[in-house]
Amino acid sequence: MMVDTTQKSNVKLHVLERFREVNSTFPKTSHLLDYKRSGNKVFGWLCTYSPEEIMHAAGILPIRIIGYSQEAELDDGNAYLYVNSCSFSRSCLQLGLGGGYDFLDGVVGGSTCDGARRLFDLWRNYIGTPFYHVLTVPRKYTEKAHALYYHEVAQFKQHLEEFLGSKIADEALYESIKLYNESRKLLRQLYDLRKLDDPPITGAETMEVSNASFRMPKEIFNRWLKDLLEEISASGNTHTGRSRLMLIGSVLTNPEFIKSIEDQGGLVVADELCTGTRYWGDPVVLDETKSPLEAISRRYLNNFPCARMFPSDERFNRIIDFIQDFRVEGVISQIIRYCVPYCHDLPLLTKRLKALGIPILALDVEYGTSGSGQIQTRVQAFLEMLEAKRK
Amino acid sequence: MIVAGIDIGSRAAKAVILKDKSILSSAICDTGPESVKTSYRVMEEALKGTGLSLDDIQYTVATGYGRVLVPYANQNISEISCHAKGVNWDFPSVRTILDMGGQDCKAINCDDGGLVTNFVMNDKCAGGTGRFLEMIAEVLNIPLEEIGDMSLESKSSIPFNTICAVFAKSEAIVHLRKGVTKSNILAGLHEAIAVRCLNLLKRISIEKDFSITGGIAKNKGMVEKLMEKAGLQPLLCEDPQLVGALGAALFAEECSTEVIKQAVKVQYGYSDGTGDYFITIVTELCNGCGECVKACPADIFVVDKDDDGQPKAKVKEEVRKKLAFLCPGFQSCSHKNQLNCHSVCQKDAIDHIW
Repeated sequence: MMVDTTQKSNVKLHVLERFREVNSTFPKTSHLLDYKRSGNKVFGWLCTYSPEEIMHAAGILPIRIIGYSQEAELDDGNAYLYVNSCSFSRSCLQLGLGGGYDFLDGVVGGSTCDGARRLFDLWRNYIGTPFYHVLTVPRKYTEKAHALYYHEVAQFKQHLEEFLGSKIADEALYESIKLYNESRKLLRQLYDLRKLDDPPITGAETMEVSNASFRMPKEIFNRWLKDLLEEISASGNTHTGRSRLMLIGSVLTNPEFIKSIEDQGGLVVADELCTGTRYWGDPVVLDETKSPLEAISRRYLNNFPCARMFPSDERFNRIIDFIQDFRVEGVISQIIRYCVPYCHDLPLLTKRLKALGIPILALDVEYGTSGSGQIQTRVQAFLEMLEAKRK
Repeated sequence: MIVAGIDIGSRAAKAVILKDKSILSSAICDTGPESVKTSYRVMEEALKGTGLSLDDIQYTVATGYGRVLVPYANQNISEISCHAKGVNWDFPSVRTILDMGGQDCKAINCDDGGLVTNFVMNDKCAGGTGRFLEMIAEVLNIPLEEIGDMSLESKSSIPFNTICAVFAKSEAIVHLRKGVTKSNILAGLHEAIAVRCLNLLKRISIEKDFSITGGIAKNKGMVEKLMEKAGLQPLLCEDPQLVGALGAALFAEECSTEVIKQAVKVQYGYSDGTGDYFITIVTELCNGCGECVKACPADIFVVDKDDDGQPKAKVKEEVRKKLAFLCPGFQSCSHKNQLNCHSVCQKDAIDHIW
């Protein structure tokens, strides 16, 4: 049965349109072009393990490098990257080779997975930017791993200082941490609204906000998000659905994908996406014993983990916490084909969820998909299954 | 009550009409390029000889790839749920279903009520599906219906390295040129498809009993191979190709009852300090048989004509205000093993909340 999740009584959220505008014009948004025109530098980062606060403290605007938000023709991407690297990295490369990111002054990556790593290498070879840096990211949370990662973060800072010819002061780092933590806090407030029985915001709408969060200056983003939170609380909007769902998996930036699920009546109330919760998950925790740099390094390694991290249970526990907090009835896993880390720990996660009685629907997708034919059938059957289970 | 299920698959369209929970008629035809036209054609086919018209069907559920394109359907339900429902009607003991369709395969686990508990589907590619077998039948120049039987005649099957429809086609041609018999080639292809399906089944859990549905389940050679691989004797429905449409029709039956119950019911009751109490009679279902009148120990019912002149059960005018004192309640009637209005109502039209 088709259930409309966007009831007619709901009012249009005007601030959301501003976020949509940013997303639809990215990478060449008016913010970024203005920023460049006024003589500032813009850097692109490739993986959530790249510490943004350091770039920000150096007066640089960090934005995330993302591919096309739709399933696109990847002819150049396929020519340079082997087809068994994920379509996300190929889509990013395609957009880069086409000049989409030609305004960037630097690119920062992490050696987190082969897709991200090879993309970085090719970017360096075929798309010229004045500055490059790749951080080695350990896979564990041990003290040795933290020491190694701290060393990497410190080296990145030093490299950046040499490039700019000026030091990054601790005061500037503190300011940036404050700004970024504010974003994280506001995003958390937005997500908390989805814990309600009839959330005032849909999953597809939330994705417009999280997408914009890494595509624009945080100063403006925070202001807009505050406006949005006010507008939502004044709107009285409510959304109901057949089932409460959580979306997990690697990168996803096409809100149409979530909309296709919600059009069938599934309400997406939480996520564990690299472009969603995993991006803004944890704040940088400052205390007197740590330098700001150390606090940043701790945060990035301890943040809501990527499937590449070990042991996997750290990520699974966090997913299960979300399932309980957001009263999730079913989990939809969307994994981009050939995303090795996510594919490989799916069976382990499925086992943990099965023990809790939470069904999981595993979808193999290409990056940018909007959830076409066969995916629709699976989602519909999954929703029917969840409804049957409730009876 | 007359309801219908319609399954517009990628290769064939199926329709099943149910009258009072038994199959009245069914039809199968090719899915043409226009799903809407096909949906009318297959229904016309099913209605032939029944003396009924499309207007006589009270509720229709559509399923299959074309499920959203059936203009007269009241609702659409995915083919995964419908196959489980359909198999459950014939074999309530089935827990594992392999649906082998025209362009995809699905492995489904279900419970004793025919509700899906887990499922997986093959990936984008149509290798190892009905369309694949059609192509091979074409290459070998044998009618599709005969390839299964012919594969069983094989003495030594040829191993195939690929399940890609395009590559397998060229591989088959190479074997033909070398003089390998058609039956050996077919046996090899059936084997390859069976292995692929088994992998799909392994991703859910293979539990007893096991059933195969969809058009390919009519192919004896394939059923044989799957039985061998899965180590389970499959229970096959009379026409496995109709199972999806049958499941849709069964859902239609459930939904229409629900809809009717919600739509036209008459309530008689009272409220006191502990809450509201009602006897509900669904007038659409009630046929005015009068069994409830005979059964009720408190003699509160009467059969009377409704606004349309149809006989319907009612609560007597003079007792309506005294129900709290007169009606012993359905619970206590059951305890004394008396007949009661619920148990005698053939149409399940009476509800009682005390």
